[in-house]
Amino acid sequence: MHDILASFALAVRLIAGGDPELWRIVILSLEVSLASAFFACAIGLPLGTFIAVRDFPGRHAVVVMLNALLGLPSVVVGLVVYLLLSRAGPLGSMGILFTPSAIVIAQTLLVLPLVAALSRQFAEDAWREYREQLTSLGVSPARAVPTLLWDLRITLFTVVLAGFGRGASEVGAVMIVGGNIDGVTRVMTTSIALETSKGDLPLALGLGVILLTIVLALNALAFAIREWSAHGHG
Amino acid sequence: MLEVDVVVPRGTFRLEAAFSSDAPIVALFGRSGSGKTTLVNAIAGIVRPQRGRIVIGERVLFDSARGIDLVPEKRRVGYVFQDALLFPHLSVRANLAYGEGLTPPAERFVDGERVLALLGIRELLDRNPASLSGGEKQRVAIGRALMASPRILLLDEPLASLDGARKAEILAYIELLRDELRLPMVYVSHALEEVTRLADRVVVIAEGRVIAEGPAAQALSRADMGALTGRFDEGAVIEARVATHDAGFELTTLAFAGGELVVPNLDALPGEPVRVRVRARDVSLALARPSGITIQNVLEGNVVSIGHEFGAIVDVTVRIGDTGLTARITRKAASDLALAPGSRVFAMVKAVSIDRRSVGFA
Amino acid sequence: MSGDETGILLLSLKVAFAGLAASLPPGIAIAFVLARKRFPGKTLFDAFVHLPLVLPPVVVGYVLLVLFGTQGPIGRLLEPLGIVFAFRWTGAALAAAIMGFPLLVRAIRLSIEAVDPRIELAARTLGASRTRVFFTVTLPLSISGIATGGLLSFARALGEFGATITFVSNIPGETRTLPLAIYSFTQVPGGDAQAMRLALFSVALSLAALAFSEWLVRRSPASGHHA
Repeated sequence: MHDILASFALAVRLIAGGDPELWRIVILSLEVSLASAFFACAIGLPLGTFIAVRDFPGRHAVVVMLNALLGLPSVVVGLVVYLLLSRAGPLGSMGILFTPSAIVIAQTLLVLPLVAALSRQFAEDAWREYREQLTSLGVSPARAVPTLLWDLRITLFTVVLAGFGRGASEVGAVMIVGGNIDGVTRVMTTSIALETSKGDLPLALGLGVILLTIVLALNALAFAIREWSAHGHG
Repeated sequence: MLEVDVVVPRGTFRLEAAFSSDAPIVALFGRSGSGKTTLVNAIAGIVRPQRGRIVIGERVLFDSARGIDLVPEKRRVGYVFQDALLFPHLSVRANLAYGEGLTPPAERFVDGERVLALLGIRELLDRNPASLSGGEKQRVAIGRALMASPRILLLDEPLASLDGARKAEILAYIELLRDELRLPMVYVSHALEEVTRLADRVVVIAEGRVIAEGPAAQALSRADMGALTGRFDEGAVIEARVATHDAGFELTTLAFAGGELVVPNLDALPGEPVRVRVRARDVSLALARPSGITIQNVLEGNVVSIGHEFGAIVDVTVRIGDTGLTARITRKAASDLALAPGSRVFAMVKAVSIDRRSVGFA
Repeated sequence: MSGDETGILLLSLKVAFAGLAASLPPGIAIAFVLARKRFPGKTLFDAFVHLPLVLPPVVVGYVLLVLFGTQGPIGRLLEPLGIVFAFRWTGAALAAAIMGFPLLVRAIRLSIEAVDPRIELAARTLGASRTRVFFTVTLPLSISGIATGGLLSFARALGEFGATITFVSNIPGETRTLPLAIYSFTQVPGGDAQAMRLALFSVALSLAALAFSEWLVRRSPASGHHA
């Protein structure tokens, strides 16, 4: 217990004191998670809404693929990206394995199905409720997707938050495609996972505190938004 | 002897009821929401009264003054619910055996074979509850409650979720049980017809209070029954005895304190006591004994009161000998005939309007 | 498949099964309490049970390390009893159990809530005590939820990485479960092929578990369940 308290004190000092190594890791984590959330949502939000609203050839196949991606262990997704990007792989010439770009790709693939599934759920509920109103207002099926996206922007923002949180929590795939290289691809999660075994407790503890704070804040924000919209929009 | 005296607050509603009964069946009669189900739930131990006392024979189930509150599983009170509530994961046989197995052998007094025979459920034994019809489910539910050798059987609107033909069928079974097993029963219902058929003793409950208690005819003949039974059913209950049968025309004559009633053939022996429900809307009045009409029952009596003057219709209570009858006629008719308290009238009741469902055997 | 790989597979299955077995009794108990009881702080308790779903796995693993590690308060308590989690497969099982716990509880709770409480009351009027009612009526009627929850939790356990590696590290033969092994093989030159094989197994196992749970859901609709 003593050790923990001592480490905790050290961790706080690292955070507050702006320890460069710690903050470099945090900034990198935020960058890759934001990027992957951005890409995942740019594709996933419209995709999920589209699936909810329109029937199109191949819809079933897309749904099955997304569900499969969602259910896959993350290390498997990481391995696939790794194999694609490795020197022997088809995209090896791009040379982005073990760089933050690789992490962004892997995280995007993991967050995308989640975002698509959540947005689809919300869009389906909304579509069921407002379909008649929208069509009577002359909203063609083609315009339905952007209309719903805008209407549901508050709810969909919580999906963005969930996507960001999911990305920031990922460790297995990130370790495989990133390699946890100091200063290049070392993010919060990989650091915590490996530093604890190396015994650098204050760093791991400090990063853990920040990661926890970020994730809890995201959840609290999403909760608050849901409560507010439930009461405000009745 | 069942004695109940409880106070049960339930949200916005407050049940404060006391009654006692020695009869084979006592009916708790009242509208939906009047508190009758809460009352039987208190007897079963499912609901805890704020204060009061519930006693069956010498067995005290609940006594707030002495801090006694037996858990349901110790009360030996059988309960038949409105929707049977059979165990879906067990066969009919296992359902029936469930309570029996939990009863100490020394306390088992119900003859399983007899119950199966009485309820006609032997051929259902290996079936699954999901495959049973409503009537079959209800019979199995009754059987299940009986097999646990209860001291008393509670039935909460057991016919409510059944259709007409099934209702009659199960009603007959319950009558049979009442006559064959010496097991006291408490029958909860809002259907006047079931109550008059089954119960010797009726406790009328409205808004959480007992407003009448006693022999059926007495408790049910209060003037304000209308609110409880619904306008359609309002009328009088007459206690009578089977006098004679007319085999040729298949009619039965009933004798009561005021005269005789001719009704379509009743399957009963001469001398048997019965309760007859006569609906007010089936009673007409005349100033003189009519002739050349089809109505079989013409009873001489006097107008007691003319009341409930709303709109086109008026209720006239008439005394026939020692018995009261209510006639529902148009206000115009009452005015045309110049009816007033004391007027000598002839009450006419179509024999056809008194069918099997309106007659209960004591 | 090499002997190595069989060993990894068996270890993963051992860890997942042990985790499931250990989490079933508390899972059923907590699901019952959440489904049927009301008590102050219930929402908070419910949120607490769902924490592993919300928190990053590495954070959960770290907390486990702090509590159950060799220096941890619970770890130190259990060590003289012969129960050690740190750097052992038991620790991996614990991590798997905890990460899958919310899924288990949620499925069982839904199942118990679908059991008409009046059927339980009927059983009590027939002479059954609360305990007997639970084991003879409630439990049998919620078996499908227990099976579904168990499968979901099992599938999650098979893919568990972050909490495991943070809590019990990556010790071959002891804590190197399937996901950790896949990662390890990518760190080894020429290990890609093995990593791929293991990945295929992992996917096959997950799909099998999910397909099985789908089948279960489909095959047992209402039996005492009210809409």
